[in-house]
Amino acid sequence: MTQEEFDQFYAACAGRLVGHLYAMTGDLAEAEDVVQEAFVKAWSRRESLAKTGRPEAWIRTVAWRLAVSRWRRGRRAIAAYQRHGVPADIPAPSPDFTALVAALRDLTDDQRRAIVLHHLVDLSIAQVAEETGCPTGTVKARLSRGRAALARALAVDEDEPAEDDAEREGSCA
Amino acid sequence: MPEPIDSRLARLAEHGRRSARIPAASEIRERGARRRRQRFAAISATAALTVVAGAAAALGGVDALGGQRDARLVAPGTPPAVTQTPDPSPTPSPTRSPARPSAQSPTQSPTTSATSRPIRSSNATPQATPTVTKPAPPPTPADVTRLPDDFAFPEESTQWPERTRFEEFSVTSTRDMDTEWDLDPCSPTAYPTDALRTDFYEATLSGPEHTEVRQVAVYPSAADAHEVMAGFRRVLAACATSNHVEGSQARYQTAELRLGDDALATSQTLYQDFSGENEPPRWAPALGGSYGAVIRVGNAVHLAANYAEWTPQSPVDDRGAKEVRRAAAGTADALCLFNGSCS
Repeated sequence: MTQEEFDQFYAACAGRLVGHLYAMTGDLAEAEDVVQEAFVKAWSRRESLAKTGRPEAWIRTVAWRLAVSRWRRGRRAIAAYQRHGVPADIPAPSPDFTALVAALRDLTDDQRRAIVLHHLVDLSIAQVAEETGCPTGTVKARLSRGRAALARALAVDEDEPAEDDAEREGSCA
Repeated sequence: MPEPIDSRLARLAEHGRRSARIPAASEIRERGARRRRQRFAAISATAALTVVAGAAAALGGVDALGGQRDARLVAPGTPPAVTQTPDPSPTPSPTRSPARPSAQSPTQSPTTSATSRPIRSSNATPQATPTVTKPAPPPTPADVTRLPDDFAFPEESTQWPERTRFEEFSVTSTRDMDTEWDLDPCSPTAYPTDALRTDFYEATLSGPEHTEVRQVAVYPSAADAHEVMAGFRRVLAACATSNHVEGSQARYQTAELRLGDDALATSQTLYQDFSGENEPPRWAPALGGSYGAVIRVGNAVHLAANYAEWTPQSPVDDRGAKEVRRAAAGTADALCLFNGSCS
Protein backbone atom coordinates (compact mmCIF):
# COMPACT_ATOMS: atom_id res chain seq x y z
CA MET A 1 0.00 0.00 0.00
CA THR A 2 1.57 3.27 -1.10
CA GLN A 3 1.51 6.45 0.94
CA GLU A 4 -1.07 7.93 -1.39
CA GLU A 5 -3.26 4.84 -1.18
CA PHE A 6 -3.01 4.85 2.58
CA ASP A 7 -3.94 8.51 2.81
CA GLN A 8 -6.95 7.97 0.59
CA PHE A 9 -7.98 4.93 2.57
CA TYR A 10 -7.57 6.82 5.82
CA ALA A 11 -9.55 9.81 4.61
CA ALA A 12 -12.35 7.62 3.37
CA CYS A 13 -12.63 5.28 6.32
CA ALA A 14 -11.34 6.84 9.52
CA GLY A 15 -14.46 8.78 10.39
CA ARG A 16 -16.76 5.95 9.48
CA LEU A 17 -14.76 3.50 11.55
CA VAL A 18 -14.86 5.81 14.53
CA GLY A 19 -18.62 5.77 14.14
CA HIS A 20 -18.64 1.99 14.09
CA LEU A 21 -16.39 1.72 17.09
CA TYR A 22 -18.39 4.35 18.90
CA ALA A 23 -21.44 2.18 18.52
CA MET A 24 -19.48 -0.87 19.56
CA THR A 25 -17.93 0.69 22.62
CA GLY A 26 -20.30 3.48 23.57
CA ASP A 27 -17.31 5.72 24.16
CA LEU A 28 -16.36 8.24 21.51
CA ALA A 29 -12.92 9.09 22.88
CA GLU A 30 -12.10 5.43 23.13
CA ALA A 31 -13.38 4.85 19.62
CA GLU A 32 -11.18 7.64 18.29
CA ASP A 33 -8.15 6.28 20.05
CA VAL A 34 -8.47 2.64 19.06
CA VAL A 35 -9.17 3.55 15.45
CA GLN A 36 -6.09 5.77 15.38
CA GLU A 37 -4.03 3.04 16.95
CA ALA A 38 -5.31 0.55 14.41
CA PHE A 39 -4.34 2.86 11.56
CA VAL A 40 -0.90 3.35 13.10
CA LYS A 41 -0.50 -0.41 13.20
CA ALA A 42 -1.75 -0.62 9.66
CA TRP A 43 0.90 1.77 8.37
CA SER A 44 3.52 0.12 10.52
CA ARG A 45 2.65 -3.21 8.93
CA ARG A 46 1.33 -2.10 5.61
CA GLU A 47 2.50 -5.21 3.79
CA SER A 48 0.23 -7.30 5.99
CA LEU A 49 -2.62 -4.90 5.50
CA ALA A 50 -2.34 -5.08 1.74
CA LYS A 51 -2.44 -8.85 1.84
CA THR A 52 -5.73 -8.97 3.69
CA GLY A 53 -7.68 -7.64 0.74
CA ARG A 54 -10.16 -6.16 3.22
CA PRO A 55 -8.29 -3.33 4.89
CA GLU A 56 -11.33 -1.70 6.44
CA ALA A 57 -12.34 -4.95 8.10
CA TRP A 58 -8.75 -5.37 9.28
CA ILE A 59 -8.77 -1.93 10.88
CA ARG A 60 -12.17 -2.48 12.44
CA THR A 61 -11.15 -5.82 13.90
CA VAL A 62 -7.87 -4.52 15.26
CA ALA A 63 -9.63 -1.52 16.76
CA TRP A 64 -12.28 -3.74 18.30
CA ARG A 65 -9.75 -6.03 19.85
CA LEU A 66 -7.92 -3.07 21.27
CA ALA A 67 -11.14 -1.76 22.68
CA VAL A 68 -12.10 -4.94 24.45
CA SER A 69 -8.68 -5.52 25.86
CA ARG A 70 -9.11 -4.69 29.48
CA TRP A 71 -5.41 -4.85 29.95
CA ARG A 72 -4.97 -1.86 27.72
CA ARG A 73 -7.91 0.09 28.91
CA GLY A 74 -6.19 2.17 31.54
CA ARG A 75 -3.14 2.89 29.48
CA ARG A 76 -5.18 3.79 26.44
CA ALA A 77 -7.17 6.36 28.34
CA ILE A 78 -4.01 8.00 29.54
CA ALA A 79 -2.50 7.93 26.08
CA ALA A 80 -5.62 9.45 24.57
CA TYR A 81 -5.64 12.14 27.18
CA GLN A 82 -2.02 12.96 26.55
CA ARG A 83 -2.55 13.16 22.82
CA HIS A 84 -5.76 15.09 22.82
CA GLY A 85 -5.96 16.88 26.11
CA VAL A 86 -9.28 17.30 27.77
CA PRO A 87 -12.06 16.73 25.25
CA ALA A 88 -13.83 20.03 25.00
CA ASP A 89 -15.66 20.45 21.78
CA ILE A 90 -17.47 17.19 21.32
CA PRO A 91 -21.15 17.88 20.75
CA ALA A 92 -23.14 16.59 23.65
CA PRO A 93 -25.11 13.49 22.74
CA SER A 94 -28.82 13.87 22.63
CA PRO A 95 -30.95 12.07 25.23
CA ASP A 96 -31.88 9.67 22.47
CA PHE A 97 -28.23 8.77 21.91
CA THR A 98 -27.66 8.51 25.61
CA ALA A 99 -30.44 5.97 25.91
CA LEU A 100 -29.13 3.99 22.96
CA VAL A 101 -25.59 3.98 24.31
CA ALA A 102 -26.86 2.87 27.70
CA ALA A 103 -28.84 0.08 26.08
CA LEU A 104 -25.84 -1.01 24.02
CA ARG A 105 -23.69 -1.10 27.10
CA ASP A 106 -26.08 -3.54 28.67
CA LEU A 107 -25.28 -6.03 25.93
CA THR A 108 -22.30 -8.29 26.04
CA ASP A 109 -19.28 -7.21 24.01
CA ASP A 110 -19.94 -9.97 21.50
CA GLN A 111 -23.62 -9.14 21.13
CA ARG A 112 -22.84 -5.48 20.62
CA ARG A 113 -20.23 -6.25 18.01
CA ALA A 114 -22.58 -8.52 16.11
CA ILE A 115 -25.38 -5.95 16.25
CA VAL A 116 -23.16 -3.19 14.93
CA LEU A 117 -21.61 -5.26 12.19
CA HIS A 118 -24.95 -6.54 10.96
CA HIS A 119 -27.24 -3.55 11.47
CA LEU A 120 -24.82 -0.67 11.06
CA VAL A 121 -22.01 -1.93 8.85
CA ASP A 122 -24.56 -3.91 6.84
CA LEU A 123 -22.59 -7.12 6.82
CA SER A 124 -24.48 -10.30 6.13
CA ILE A 125 -24.57 -12.94 8.83
CA ALA A 126 -21.98 -14.93 6.93
CA GLN A 127 -19.73 -11.87 6.73
CA VAL A 128 -20.18 -11.17 10.42
CA ALA A 129 -19.26 -14.78 11.10
CA GLU A 130 -16.13 -14.40 9.01
CA GLU A 131 -15.06 -11.16 10.64
CA THR A 132 -15.67 -12.38 14.15
CA GLY A 133 -14.40 -15.91 13.62
CA CYS A 134 -17.63 -17.49 14.80
CA PRO A 135 -20.07 -19.96 13.31
CA THR A 136 -23.11 -18.38 11.74
CA GLY A 137 -25.32 -20.00 14.35
CA THR A 138 -23.47 -18.19 17.07
CA VAL A 139 -23.78 -14.92 15.21
CA LYS A 140 -27.51 -15.47 14.83
CA ALA A 141 -27.82 -16.14 18.51
CA ARG A 142 -25.93 -13.02 19.44
CA LEU A 143 -27.98 -10.92 17.07
CA SER A 144 -31.20 -12.38 18.32
CA ARG A 145 -30.43 -11.88 21.97
CA GLY A 146 -28.89 -8.49 21.40
CA ARG A 147 -31.85 -7.21 19.43
CA ALA A 148 -34.25 -8.48 22.04
CA ALA A 149 -32.35 -6.74 24.81
CA LEU A 150 -32.19 -3.49 22.86
CA ALA A 151 -35.85 -3.70 22.05
CA ARG A 152 -36.73 -4.07 25.69
CA ALA A 153 -34.52 -1.17 26.66
CA LEU A 154 -35.64 1.11 23.86
CA ALA A 155 -39.23 -0.01 23.56
CA VAL A 156 -38.74 -1.24 20.02
CA ASP A 157 -40.84 -4.11 18.75
CA GLU A 158 -38.65 -7.14 18.46
CA ASP A 159 -39.37 -10.82 18.52
CA GLU A 160 -37.96 -12.86 21.35
CA PRO A 161 -34.92 -14.91 20.37
CA ALA A 162 -35.51 -18.37 19.08
CA GLU A 163 -34.65 -21.00 21.63
CA ASP A 164 -32.14 -22.80 19.45
CA ASP A 165 -30.33 -19.56 18.68
CA ALA A 166 -30.16 -18.60 22.30
CA GLU A 167 -28.63 -21.93 23.20
CA ARG A 168 -25.86 -21.59 20.68
CA GLU A 169 -24.43 -18.31 21.76
CA GLY A 170 -20.96 -18.64 23.15
CA SER A 171 -17.46 -17.34 23.02
CA CYS A 172 -15.60 -18.14 19.84
CA ALA A 173 -13.38 -15.33 18.76
CA MET B 1 -43.96 4.05 16.55
CA PRO B 2 -40.45 3.47 17.91
CA GLU B 3 -37.57 4.08 15.55
CA PRO B 4 -35.94 0.86 14.26
CA ILE B 5 -32.61 -0.12 15.73
CA ASP B 6 -30.87 0.16 12.38
CA SER B 7 -31.61 3.82 11.95
CA ARG B 8 -30.87 4.62 15.58
CA LEU B 9 -27.51 2.97 15.25
CA ALA B 10 -26.85 4.78 12.00
CA ARG B 11 -27.61 8.14 13.61
CA LEU B 12 -25.39 7.30 16.56
CA ALA B 13 -22.53 6.31 14.28
CA GLU B 14 -23.00 9.43 12.21
CA HIS B 15 -22.83 11.48 15.38
CA GLY B 16 -19.56 9.71 16.18
CA ARG B 17 -18.20 10.27 12.71
CA ARG B 18 -19.02 13.96 12.73
CA SER B 19 -17.69 14.47 16.24
CA ALA B 20 -14.55 12.45 15.82
CA ARG B 21 -11.23 14.20 15.95
CA ILE B 22 -9.30 12.67 13.11
CA PRO B 23 -5.59 13.47 13.02
CA ALA B 24 -3.94 14.13 9.69
CA ALA B 25 -2.91 11.04 7.78
CA SER B 26 0.67 12.26 7.90
CA GLU B 27 0.60 12.12 11.69
CA ILE B 28 -0.70 8.57 11.64
CA ARG B 29 1.94 7.56 9.13
CA GLU B 30 4.65 9.19 11.19
CA ARG B 31 3.60 7.24 14.25
CA GLY B 32 3.41 4.06 12.20
CA ALA B 33 6.83 4.63 10.70
CA ARG B 34 8.29 5.30 14.12
CA ARG B 35 6.72 2.11 15.43
CA ARG B 36 8.19 0.24 12.54
CA ARG B 37 11.68 1.62 13.11
CA GLN B 38 11.48 0.79 16.78
CA ARG B 39 10.34 -2.72 16.01
CA PHE B 40 13.23 -3.38 13.68
CA ALA B 41 15.72 -1.72 15.91
CA ALA B 42 14.56 -4.02 18.66
CA ILE B 43 14.70 -7.02 16.43
CA SER B 44 18.15 -6.06 15.31
CA ALA B 45 19.35 -5.48 18.82
CA THR B 46 18.10 -8.60 20.43
CA ALA B 47 17.64 -11.04 17.68
CA ALA B 48 20.22 -13.59 18.14
CA LEU B 49 21.92 -15.09 15.27
CA THR B 50 21.68 -18.71 15.54
CA VAL B 51 24.80 -20.58 15.14
CA VAL B 52 24.80 -24.28 15.03
CA ALA B 53 23.75 -26.00 18.09
CA GLY B 54 24.56 -29.44 18.87
CA ALA B 55 26.35 -29.71 15.61
CA ALA B 56 27.26 -33.10 16.63
CA ALA B 57 28.10 -35.81 14.38
CA ALA B 58 29.29 -35.31 10.98
CA LEU B 59 27.21 -32.60 9.61
CA GLY B 60 27.48 -31.93 5.98
CA GLY B 61 28.06 -28.51 4.64
CA VAL B 62 26.86 -25.86 2.38
CA ASP B 63 29.00 -24.13 -0.14
CA ALA B 64 29.20 -20.43 0.29
CA LEU B 65 27.60 -19.50 -2.93
CA GLY B 66 26.03 -22.69 -4.01
CA GLY B 67 23.06 -24.50 -2.81
CA GLN B 68 22.73 -27.11 -0.18
CA ARG B 69 25.21 -29.92 -0.38
CA ASP B 70 24.51 -32.72 2.04
CA ALA B 71 23.79 -30.07 4.59
CA ARG B 72 21.69 -30.97 7.54
CA LEU B 73 19.63 -28.49 9.42
CA VAL B 74 20.25 -28.55 13.07
CA ALA B 75 17.40 -28.01 15.40
CA PRO B 76 19.22 -27.14 18.58
CA GLY B 77 16.22 -27.83 20.70
CA THR B 78 12.92 -29.39 20.14
CA PRO B 79 10.65 -26.45 19.55
CA PRO B 80 7.67 -26.13 21.77
CA ALA B 81 4.33 -27.00 20.36
CA VAL B 82 3.51 -24.42 17.79
CA THR B 83 0.25 -23.79 16.15
CA GLN B 84 1.16 -22.11 12.95
CA THR B 85 -2.16 -20.79 11.97
CA PRO B 86 -2.10 -19.30 8.53
CA ASP B 87 -4.86 -17.06 9.66
CA PRO B 88 -5.91 -14.70 6.95
CA SER B 89 -8.35 -13.01 9.21
CA PRO B 90 -7.47 -9.69 10.68
CA THR B 91 -5.17 -10.00 13.60
CA PRO B 92 -3.94 -7.22 15.77
CA SER B 93 -0.30 -6.68 15.42
CA PRO B 94 1.49 -7.18 18.64
CA THR B 95 3.61 -4.28 19.59
CA ARG B 96 5.70 -5.75 22.30
CA SER B 97 9.31 -5.18 21.52
CA PRO B 98 12.06 -7.22 22.98
CA ALA B 99 14.39 -5.10 24.95
CA ARG B 100 18.05 -4.99 24.25
CA PRO B 101 19.94 -6.66 27.00
CA SER B 102 22.11 -4.49 29.08
CA ALA B 103 25.68 -4.13 28.06
CA GLN B 104 27.88 -6.76 29.51
CA SER B 105 31.11 -6.11 31.24
CA PRO B 106 33.76 -8.56 32.26
CA THR B 107 32.67 -8.14 35.84
CA GLN B 108 29.12 -9.12 35.22
CA SER B 109 28.03 -12.56 36.02
CA PRO B 110 27.26 -14.03 32.67
CA THR B 111 23.99 -15.73 32.11
CA THR B 112 25.73 -17.99 29.72
CA SER B 113 29.36 -18.43 29.26
CA ALA B 114 31.06 -19.28 26.05
CA THR B 115 33.72 -21.10 27.90
CA SER B 116 31.55 -23.06 30.23
CA ARG B 117 28.46 -25.10 29.90
CA PRO B 118 25.68 -22.54 29.62
CA ILE B 119 22.72 -22.36 31.87
CA ARG B 120 19.72 -23.38 29.92
CA SER B 121 16.87 -20.99 29.51
CA SER B 122 13.60 -22.13 30.91
CA ASN B 123 12.33 -23.48 27.67
CA ALA B 124 15.51 -24.76 26.19
CA THR B 125 15.70 -28.41 25.51
CA PRO B 126 18.42 -30.37 27.23
CA GLN B 127 21.28 -31.15 24.90
CA ALA B 128 24.02 -33.64 24.86
CA THR B 129 27.41 -32.10 25.33
CA PRO B 130 27.91 -30.24 22.10
CA THR B 131 30.58 -31.43 19.80
CA VAL B 132 32.41 -28.86 17.78
CA THR B 133 32.83 -29.89 14.21
CA LYS B 134 36.40 -28.87 13.66
CA PRO B 135 39.35 -29.86 15.84
CA ALA B 136 40.91 -27.04 17.76
CA PRO B 137 44.00 -25.54 16.19
CA PRO B 138 47.18 -25.38 18.27
CA PRO B 139 47.39 -22.38 20.60
CA THR B 140 50.17 -20.83 18.62
CA PRO B 141 50.22 -17.04 18.70
CA ALA B 142 49.00 -15.61 15.47
CA ASP B 143 51.24 -13.56 13.25
CA VAL B 144 48.67 -10.84 12.76
CA THR B 145 46.42 -9.73 15.60
CA ARG B 146 45.19 -6.38 14.35
CA LEU B 147 42.88 -5.38 11.59
CA PRO B 148 44.34 -2.97 9.08
CA ASP B 149 43.56 0.61 10.01
CA ASP B 150 41.50 1.02 6.88
CA PHE B 151 39.70 -2.29 7.16
CA ALA B 152 36.14 -2.20 5.86
CA PHE B 153 33.64 -4.84 4.87
CA PRO B 154 33.22 -5.24 1.13
CA GLU B 155 29.60 -4.03 1.15
CA GLU B 156 30.67 -0.73 2.69
CA SER B 157 32.13 0.23 -0.65
CA THR B 158 29.77 -1.69 -2.89
CA GLN B 159 26.07 -2.11 -2.05
CA TRP B 160 25.69 0.15 0.97
CA PRO B 161 26.57 3.52 -0.57
CA GLU B 162 23.82 3.04 -3.10
CA ARG B 163 21.30 2.24 -0.40
CA THR B 164 22.20 5.20 1.74
CA ARG B 165 21.19 7.45 -1.09
CA PHE B 166 17.72 6.85 0.29
CA GLU B 167 17.41 8.99 3.36
CA GLU B 168 15.98 6.25 5.56
CA PHE B 169 19.19 4.21 5.40
CA SER B 170 22.30 5.04 7.35
CA VAL B 171 25.65 3.39 7.97
CA THR B 172 27.44 3.44 11.28
CA SER B 173 30.64 1.78 12.37
CA THR B 174 32.69 1.29 15.49
CA ARG B 175 35.97 -0.20 16.59
CA ASP B 176 34.94 -0.24 20.23
CA MET B 177 36.48 -3.40 21.61
CA ASP B 178 33.63 -3.83 24.09
CA THR B 179 30.95 -4.07 21.42
CA GLU B 180 28.88 -7.16 21.98
CA TRP B 181 28.44 -9.82 19.39
CA ASP B 182 25.13 -9.37 17.68
CA LEU B 183 24.37 -12.85 18.78
CA ASP B 184 22.36 -13.03 21.93
CA PRO B 185 20.23 -16.12 22.17
CA CYS B 186 20.14 -16.30 25.93
CA SER B 187 19.47 -12.62 26.46
CA PRO B 188 21.85 -11.72 27.89
CA THR B 189 24.63 -13.88 26.60
CA ALA B 190 28.20 -13.34 27.67
CA TYR B 191 31.27 -14.55 25.87
CA PRO B 192 34.18 -14.42 28.30
CA THR B 193 36.57 -15.47 25.58
CA ASP B 194 35.96 -12.07 24.06
CA ALA B 195 38.05 -10.56 26.80
CA LEU B 196 40.92 -11.85 24.70
CA ARG B 197 40.00 -9.74 21.70
CA THR B 198 42.90 -7.96 20.14
CA ASP B 199 40.81 -5.99 17.66
CA PHE B 200 37.22 -5.51 16.61
CA TYR B 201 35.24 -3.75 13.93
CA GLU B 202 31.50 -3.44 13.32
CA ALA B 203 29.56 -1.76 10.54
CA THR B 204 25.78 -1.52 10.36
CA LEU B 205 23.41 -0.51 7.62
CA SER B 206 20.13 0.56 9.22
CA GLY B 207 16.85 1.19 7.51
CA PRO B 208 13.24 1.11 8.60
CA GLU B 209 12.61 -2.32 7.16
CA HIS B 210 16.05 -3.81 6.82
CA THR B 211 19.19 -3.90 8.90
CA GLU B 212 22.53 -5.46 8.06
CA VAL B 213 25.18 -5.99 10.70
CA ARG B 214 28.78 -6.99 10.01
CA GLN B 215 31.24 -7.70 12.80
CA VAL B 216 34.75 -9.06 12.95
CA ALA B 217 36.87 -9.78 15.99
CA VAL B 218 40.49 -10.81 16.12
CA TYR B 219 42.07 -13.00 18.80
CA PRO B 220 45.60 -13.83 19.89
CA SER B 221 45.48 -17.25 18.29
CA ALA B 222 43.37 -19.42 16.06
CA ALA B 223 42.67 -21.58 19.08
CA ASP B 224 41.06 -18.63 20.83
CA ALA B 225 38.94 -17.88 17.78
CA HIS B 226 38.01 -21.53 17.62
CA GLU B 227 36.80 -21.32 21.22
CA VAL B 228 34.61 -18.35 20.33
CA MET B 229 32.95 -20.45 17.65
CA ALA B 230 32.50 -23.25 20.15
CA GLY B 231 30.93 -20.77 22.55
CA PHE B 232 28.45 -19.69 19.93
CA ARG B 233 27.46 -23.29 19.41
CA ARG B 234 27.03 -23.91 23.10
CA VAL B 235 24.87 -20.92 23.88
CA LEU B 236 22.69 -21.44 20.87
CA ALA B 237 22.24 -25.06 21.70
CA ALA B 238 21.07 -24.03 25.11
CA CYS B 239 18.83 -21.19 24.06
CA ALA B 240 17.51 -22.30 20.70
CA THR B 241 14.12 -21.06 21.71
CA SER B 242 14.29 -17.76 23.47
CA ASN B 243 11.58 -15.96 25.32
CA HIS B 244 12.65 -12.39 24.89
CA VAL B 245 9.62 -10.90 26.53
CA GLU B 246 6.24 -12.19 27.47
CA GLY B 247 4.39 -13.21 24.37
CA SER B 248 7.40 -13.02 22.08
CA GLN B 249 9.76 -15.79 21.21
CA ALA B 250 12.70 -16.31 18.88
CA ARG B 251 13.36 -19.70 17.33
CA TYR B 252 16.36 -20.79 15.36
CA GLN B 253 17.48 -23.21 12.73
CA THR B 254 21.10 -23.77 11.95
CA ALA B 255 23.36 -25.51 9.48
CA GLU B 256 27.05 -25.96 8.94
CA LEU B 257 28.73 -24.04 6.17
CA ARG B 258 31.82 -24.84 4.18
CA LEU B 259 33.49 -21.51 4.43
CA GLY B 260 36.82 -20.48 5.86
CA ASP B 261 38.14 -22.67 8.64
CA ASP B 262 34.79 -23.08 10.31
CA ALA B 263 31.40 -21.60 9.58
CA LEU B 264 27.77 -21.71 10.55
CA ALA B 265 24.51 -20.53 9.05
CA THR B 266 21.47 -19.58 10.96
CA SER B 267 17.95 -18.34 10.61
CA GLN B 268 15.87 -16.86 13.33
CA THR B 269 12.12 -16.58 13.22
CA LEU B 270 10.13 -14.53 15.65
CA TYR B 271 6.97 -15.98 17.07
CA GLN B 272 4.19 -14.17 18.78
CA ASP B 273 1.50 -15.41 21.10
CA PHE B 274 -1.73 -14.41 19.43
CA SER B 275 -4.01 -15.84 22.08
CA GLY B 276 -6.51 -13.69 23.85
CA GLU B 277 -7.01 -13.25 27.52
CA ASN B 278 -7.45 -16.49 29.43
CA GLU B 279 -6.74 -18.53 26.33
CA PRO B 280 -3.98 -21.08 25.92
CA PRO B 281 -0.93 -19.84 23.99
CA ARG B 282 -1.39 -19.68 20.25
CA TRP B 283 2.07 -19.24 18.76
CA ALA B 284 2.41 -18.19 15.18
CA PRO B 285 5.21 -16.60 13.18
CA ALA B 286 5.34 -12.86 13.56
CA LEU B 287 6.66 -10.50 10.99
CA GLY B 288 10.41 -10.33 11.29
CA GLY B 289 13.44 -12.49 11.47
CA SER B 290 17.06 -12.77 10.56
CA TYR B 291 19.61 -14.75 8.63
CA GLY B 292 23.17 -15.00 9.73
CA ALA B 293 26.49 -16.50 8.84
CA VAL B 294 29.47 -16.86 11.15
CA ILE B 295 32.88 -17.70 9.79
CA ARG B 296 36.32 -18.17 11.29
CA VAL B 297 39.41 -17.45 9.27
CA GLY B 298 42.51 -18.22 11.27
CA ASN B 299 42.36 -16.09 14.40
CA ALA B 300 39.53 -13.89 13.16
CA VAL B 301 35.80 -14.45 13.53
CA HIS B 302 33.29 -12.71 11.31
CA LEU B 303 29.55 -12.44 11.81
CA ALA B 304 27.17 -11.25 9.09
CA ALA B 305 23.49 -10.82 9.83
CA ASN B 306 20.53 -9.40 7.96
CA TYR B 307 17.23 -8.53 9.59
CA ALA B 308 14.01 -7.72 7.79
CA GLU B 309 10.28 -8.27 7.60
CA TRP B 310 10.50 -11.82 6.50
CA THR B 311 9.66 -15.16 8.00
CA PRO B 312 12.70 -17.37 7.58
CA GLN B 313 12.03 -20.96 6.64
CA SER B 314 15.52 -22.26 6.04
CA PRO B 315 18.99 -20.98 6.98
CA VAL B 316 20.29 -22.56 3.81
CA ASP B 317 17.82 -22.32 0.99
CA ASP B 318 15.99 -19.05 1.57
CA ARG B 319 17.02 -16.14 -0.58
CA GLY B 320 17.92 -14.14 2.51
CA ALA B 321 20.13 -16.98 3.70
CA LYS B 322 22.00 -17.04 0.43
CA GLU B 323 22.48 -13.29 0.51
CA VAL B 324 24.04 -13.28 3.95
CA ARG B 325 26.18 -16.29 3.05
CA ARG B 326 27.43 -14.46 0.01
CA ALA B 327 28.26 -11.45 2.16
CA ALA B 328 30.20 -13.59 4.64
CA ALA B 329 32.11 -15.24 1.82
CA GLY B 330 33.11 -11.83 0.52
CA THR B 331 34.45 -10.82 3.90
CA ALA B 332 36.29 -14.12 4.25
CA ASP B 333 38.40 -13.09 1.29
CA ALA B 334 39.28 -9.90 3.11
CA LEU B 335 40.42 -11.89 6.13
CA CYS B 336 43.14 -13.87 4.39
CA LEU B 337 45.79 -11.98 6.31
CA PHE B 338 44.84 -13.95 9.40
CA ASN B 339 46.38 -17.09 7.98
CA GLY B 340 43.27 -19.12 7.63
CA SER B 341 41.32 -20.70 4.85
CA CYS B 342 39.84 -17.65 3.29
CA SER B 343 38.59 -18.63 -0.10
